[in-house]
Amino acid sequence: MKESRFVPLTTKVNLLILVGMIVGIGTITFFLSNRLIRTLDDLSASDMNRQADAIYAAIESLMLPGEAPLAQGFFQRLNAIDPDQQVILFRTDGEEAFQDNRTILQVNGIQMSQQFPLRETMMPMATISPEDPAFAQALGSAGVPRDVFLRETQDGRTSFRVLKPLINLPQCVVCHGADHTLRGVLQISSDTTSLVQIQRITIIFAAGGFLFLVLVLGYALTRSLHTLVLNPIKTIGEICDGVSRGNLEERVSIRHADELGLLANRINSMIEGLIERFKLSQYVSGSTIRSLQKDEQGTDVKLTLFFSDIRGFTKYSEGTSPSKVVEILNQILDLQTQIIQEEGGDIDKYVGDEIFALFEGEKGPWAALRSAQKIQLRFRELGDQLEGLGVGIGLHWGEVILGRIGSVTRGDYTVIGDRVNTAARLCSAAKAGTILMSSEIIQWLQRQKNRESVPDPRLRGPFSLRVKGKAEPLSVYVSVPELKEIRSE
Amino acid sequence: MNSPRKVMVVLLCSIFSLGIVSCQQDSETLVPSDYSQWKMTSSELLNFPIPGHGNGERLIYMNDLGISYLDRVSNLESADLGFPPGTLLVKEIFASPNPSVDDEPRMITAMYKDPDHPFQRGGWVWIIKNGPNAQESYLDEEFCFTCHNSANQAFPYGQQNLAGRFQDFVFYIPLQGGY
Ligand code: HEC
Repeated sequence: MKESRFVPLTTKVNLLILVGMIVGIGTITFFLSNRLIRTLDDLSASDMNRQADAIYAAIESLMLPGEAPLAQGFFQRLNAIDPDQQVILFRTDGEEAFQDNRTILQVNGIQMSQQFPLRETMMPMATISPEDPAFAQALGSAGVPRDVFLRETQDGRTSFRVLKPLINLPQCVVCHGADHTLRGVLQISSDTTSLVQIQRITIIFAAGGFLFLVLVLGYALTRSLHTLVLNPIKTIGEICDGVSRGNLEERVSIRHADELGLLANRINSMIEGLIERFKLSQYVSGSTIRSLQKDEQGTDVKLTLFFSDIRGFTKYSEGTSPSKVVEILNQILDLQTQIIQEEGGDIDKYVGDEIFALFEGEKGPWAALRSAQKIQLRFRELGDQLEGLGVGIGLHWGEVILGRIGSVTRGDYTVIGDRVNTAARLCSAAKAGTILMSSEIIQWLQRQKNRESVPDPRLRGPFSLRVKGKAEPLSVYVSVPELKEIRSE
Repeated sequence: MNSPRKVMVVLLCSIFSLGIVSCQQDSETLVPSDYSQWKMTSSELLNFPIPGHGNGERLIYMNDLGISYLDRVSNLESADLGFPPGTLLVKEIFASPNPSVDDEPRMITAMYKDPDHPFQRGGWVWIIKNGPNAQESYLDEEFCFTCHNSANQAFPYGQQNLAGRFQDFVFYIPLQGGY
């Protein structure tokens, strides 16, 4: 898979919010303002149609009883009411009706009377071109005469126009004759420029409001996302960085009652766990930790085995207060442990007043011997400070089994085998202040002699030592280190 | 172009063409060819000029449903009328006021009573045909309806409806049995 470019979460989230809001609110605003404009248009259109119907009905009612002058007055009144609206009745030839005496003369001719008096003053006459498509359509250019509704824009002004053919009804025939189907066309035009302006302002306001809303909401959302999500994530990341650098002091302090709060708690308890494990490693042998890391099963290894045991400790503890016993025991174990660890040994376990330690590698026997000598000399140096107590030490070398020994729930990585028992027997046979070694370890030391510098072990032996559980006596050597020899080193 | 797109295009095209076909199928005929067997609604010779239908001769037929309805109306001279759905009035309009026997009508107009029809005005479908074999068109605009509304008040033809009763938009109401 291709390595994708790192884009900060902040950028992504901000982008998401911005796009989401522009698309979401923008669509709503667009549709709403669109809808609003359409509704306004529809409203004014249907309003005009209704007006046209009403005026048509009024003309019919005024004309049928022969009240043409009333109809003319009605038109003048209508046009005076609203300067933005104009009502004109055109004859079929395009001339404005009610302005001259032409129709009056025709009607009087048909009636063969002077029923309608002539006008004395002619009015200025508006005309409409017979070629005007809307006018022609109203007159029936497309089959039958029909109502025409138009929305027109000219010189930046917008207007609606309704044209209604005025039918020569059977009732009209009496006065107007039967030789034509239409009397004329009624035109109502309404200047809606101001309405359009209102619509435009509405759109501008809506768009401006939308922009403002996007900015404000976007800012608010980004801010709250920062405090709710991004900042906690950053804090957690910093703490994790610190932990991987070894800083176990810091804790994530996020008190949100949400997933991030939970995550912070988990990380804190993880750090606690790490600390506990660090502490625990002081109580666990190095081989245990290593085996844990490797997840080892049982294996055969060659090791140097070190046992030390305090002589006469049981008797001493019988006559001493428990706190003193523990204090002295810890002091003795501690001084030995320090020396063993200095020499690279690994405390496998403490069993009461006994220490079982392991030394790995080729130089293990030397290191073990050095530790043993240093321990014995240290005891001699301290003398009475340790209540006159001393240790016996047993050393052995050979193959043992290393593995996790115990139950599923509780176990130790430790070594077992015949040689471990032998080493323990050597230890119990060693008198206070002495080191008892197997012939295996002596052979090993001899082979390596030239390569390591150790004080002369002042070996005595070999002796035969009978131990429990062994048919054959063991061949052992004893070393009793002297003060001056160690000092001369 | 990959195949899913092709499929989409074909699908869309077929949907559109289906729409077009279904729109074209919507041509019904309301005026049957044998209307000249029906009763007529006027005993007068209608060849005086009249707005809306010109000044040629006019012959008006009414189907049996309409005639038998009128037969059932008591007090036919003054009762308000309401023709039953299915009533059909066919009016032949000739070019000449005195056509010869072989002349075909210039135009046929008809009224079909069907208050549920999408194009009805005042309960009637207003039909116009430019000749006996031309296609029918239905006019749901003001034109026919507005003028025929005058039949529901006094008008200057035939029986003139001087009482101003509701004649259901029909000008010429025959006597019972028709002519
Ligand atoms: C200007 C008035 C006027 C208009 C518009 C008009 N008619 Fe008529 N119509 C009449 C009159 C008047 C009659 C009476 C018969 C005659 O004298 O022809 C009539 C008769 C008829 C009849 C016979 C039934 C009757 O009422 O006696 C039919 C059908 C008819 N018209 C259909 C139509 C159709 C369809 C239209 C629209 C295309 C139409 N008319 C438009 C005035 C009009």
